[in-house]
Amino acid sequence: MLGMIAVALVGICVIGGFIGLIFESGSLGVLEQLSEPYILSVIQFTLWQASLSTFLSVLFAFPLARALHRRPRFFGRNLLIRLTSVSLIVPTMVAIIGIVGVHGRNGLMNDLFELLGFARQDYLYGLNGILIAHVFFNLPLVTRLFLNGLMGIPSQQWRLASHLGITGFNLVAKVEWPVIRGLIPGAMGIVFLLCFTSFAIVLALGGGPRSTTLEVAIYQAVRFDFNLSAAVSLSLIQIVLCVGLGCLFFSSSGEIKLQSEHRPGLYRSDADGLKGALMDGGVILTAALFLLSPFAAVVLKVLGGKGFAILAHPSFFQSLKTSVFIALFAGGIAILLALVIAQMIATLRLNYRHERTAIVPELIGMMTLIMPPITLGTGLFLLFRSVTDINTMGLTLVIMINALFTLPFALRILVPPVHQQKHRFERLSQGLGIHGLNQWRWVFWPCLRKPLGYGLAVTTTLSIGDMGVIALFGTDELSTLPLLIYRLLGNYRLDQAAVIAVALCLVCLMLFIIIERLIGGPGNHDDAKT
Amino acid sequence: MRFLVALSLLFTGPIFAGEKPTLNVYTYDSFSSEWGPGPKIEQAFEAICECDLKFVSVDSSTGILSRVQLEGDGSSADIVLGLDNSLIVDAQKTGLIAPHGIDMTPLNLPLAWNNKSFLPFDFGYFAFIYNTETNPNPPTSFMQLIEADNDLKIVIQDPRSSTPGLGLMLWMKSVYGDKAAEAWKRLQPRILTVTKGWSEAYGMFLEGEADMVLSYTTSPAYHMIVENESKYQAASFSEGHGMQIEVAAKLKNAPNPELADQFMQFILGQDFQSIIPTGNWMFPVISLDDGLPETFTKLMNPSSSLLIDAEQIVENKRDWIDEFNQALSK
Repeated sequence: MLGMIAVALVGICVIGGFIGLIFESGSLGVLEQLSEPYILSVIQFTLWQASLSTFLSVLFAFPLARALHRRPRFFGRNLLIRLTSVSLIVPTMVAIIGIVGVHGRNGLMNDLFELLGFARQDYLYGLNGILIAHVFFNLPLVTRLFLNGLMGIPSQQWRLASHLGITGFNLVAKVEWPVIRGLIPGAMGIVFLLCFTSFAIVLALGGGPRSTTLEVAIYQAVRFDFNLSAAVSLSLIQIVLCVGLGCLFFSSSGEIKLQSEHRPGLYRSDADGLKGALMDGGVILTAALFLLSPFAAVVLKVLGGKGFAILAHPSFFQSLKTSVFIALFAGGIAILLALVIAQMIATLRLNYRHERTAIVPELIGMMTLIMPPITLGTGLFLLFRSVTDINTMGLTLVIMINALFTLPFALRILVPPVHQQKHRFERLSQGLGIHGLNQWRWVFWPCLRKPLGYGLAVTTTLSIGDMGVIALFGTDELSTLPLLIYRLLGNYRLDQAAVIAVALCLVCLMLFIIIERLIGGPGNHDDAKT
Repeated sequence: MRFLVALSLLFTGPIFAGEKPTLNVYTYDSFSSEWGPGPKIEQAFEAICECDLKFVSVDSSTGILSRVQLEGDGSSADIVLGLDNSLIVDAQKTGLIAPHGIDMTPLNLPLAWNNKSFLPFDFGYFAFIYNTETNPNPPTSFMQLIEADNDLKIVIQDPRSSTPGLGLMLWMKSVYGDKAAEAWKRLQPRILTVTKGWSEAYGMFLEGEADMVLSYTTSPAYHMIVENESKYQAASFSEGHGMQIEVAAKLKNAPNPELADQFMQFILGQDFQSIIPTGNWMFPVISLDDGLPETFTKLMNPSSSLLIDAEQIVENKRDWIDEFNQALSK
């Protein structure tokens, strides 16, 4: 019941806004749009870059997750995992500066080439740049999903494999691959959607109009041509493509694999030996360099600059306060929505065996990933304007919108463990007559606190890094850290913007660790079931 | 129940805050931000108006227009501030703009302005900024830029999402006319990348990624005044420089028409205009009593200013964008 209300609320906001937009725009011309060679070439490029980015993220994530799994203890492992989670929330602008600082013509890599006696290379701009940026954003997410999958493999399996003398490639094929294979569709789905709707990255690193995504064309229709009807048509094309591909991905993920409890200090026979250690070390080091160097570039910039004064500026504290406030509320709402929706999905699957119907609430929850922000923003603007005064409701709206935008991530994290928990304990607790609060206290909480903690950490940090669609339409004197960064940049203050960017990353990291620890409880957190 | 009342008070607080009327000015973010001219202008106007001036900031100047368009007749905006010459015909077409009725004789623009609805509040010239230390001999004309060595890299902005990007497209058009597509094609090898907005491009330039970036002739003034750094300068092009005129307008359904009139009048006054040079890093539209800041007089002065007629822009911009896209998509 609660699940229905949650799905309905999300549906009204997201789909209602869009329907309002269709009425506002008057006519639709999907076929006309599809007959334009330019739009077709844009669709083609969008699909191409998103597929490649997804493929590469997944391809690199497997060896990385494997190496991290084989080396459960080394100095800085936890910090590395946390730090890389931050890459998902870095404002695009900051990521661009960081990536350019490493891979650009004047970047650290080129300095290295020169030091080694090679000529400087111009390899960033074009498809390369787009792929580098997209892998930078998504590799940590997929790695984390895979790592959690590997941790769910029961220790008996490792022991059995060891007794049977299964090693090397066979071990991958027989023990690890079956688990990873089940996770690939879901992981690919979410990465594909994120890359499909990429905008500023594609433009800045893509080298020009030959790298244009559908998202750019939609922005052009709204802002440049003032053509709502074209925007709605293009958005529909995007939604249909994404929902189609999304269904393909999510429905093929099939039955959710039940995971066993993770036991720390798990023994993997193949973890011994110098060769394995060297290989894992190499993989982890390469990945760490790739993922952390853009941050290092921004930090270097900050240390070399004169922007520190901004930290004493009252607007920094003001923005910090507002950002944390918004993030906690938005993250909390998102995780509550996700929890009730996940319960509903699990009930549909387990009690009613409605596999197909169960996709519907998940898809509705994922809608905000698919909808172009400018279209969604316009739709929501029209929707909210009809019921309230936008100018004085700024804060509330930002919280709601951020909650909607982070819901897809919360769902990805909560759906599997809720399903598992229900599958395992529902009958048992009914048999024992445990209900209500007691059920929460003794059954749900112990099973779910880890994923809830991880989920809240993710949604909170995601909302703190989000610019918020509300910025597209304006508010009164609302200031958040990402907005502050953009304001400083817009007024030439690059040094100070970089300082705030680093502060934002640190705040995210701290929030992430605190929330995960507070809600998820002490102990190893890598086994939060995702 | 009492909780709900308290909650609603929390969210609607400002309504009860004072009996003073509120003048709503819709503008773009970098104008109203703390580092823009907004706060000083607010202070100066509130000192004379017995009102509360409130900026509602949108991400970009096209965002201002789409917002008032979506709000239609029910908009709570009194003034829109920050549209530019390329947008005024689109804005006029919405039917939401009122004539300003301001005496424009104090205007001191490089060219005549007699639009009855849109009042200029600042202007500037587009230019390529370069680093004099690493690039002592920049191109001195579009011709030279187009024929320059392929190693010379520039960063520009996308005309579909950025005002300077659109400015460059119009500037190219006024220099090359029908041959603009050809010119874009020849320029392409030197274009490192085309960014969504001004900030990304300018940031990349400051990082040393590119030799030149599209910005304004006034950009060096920021570096000279605030950072005491004079190595960034604007390259002077012999064909002349594209111009941008930023305008304000009063809305037909302005909730506070008298206050709006008062503000429009205030725009052309010394108080407002003297904040513009070092606030918005643009040129004022009247001659200032105290003159321009000294640094501004040292800036590169374009040989001629190029401005395409607003009607013509609206009629053709779609085709010109296609031309730009096609030329650079090869």
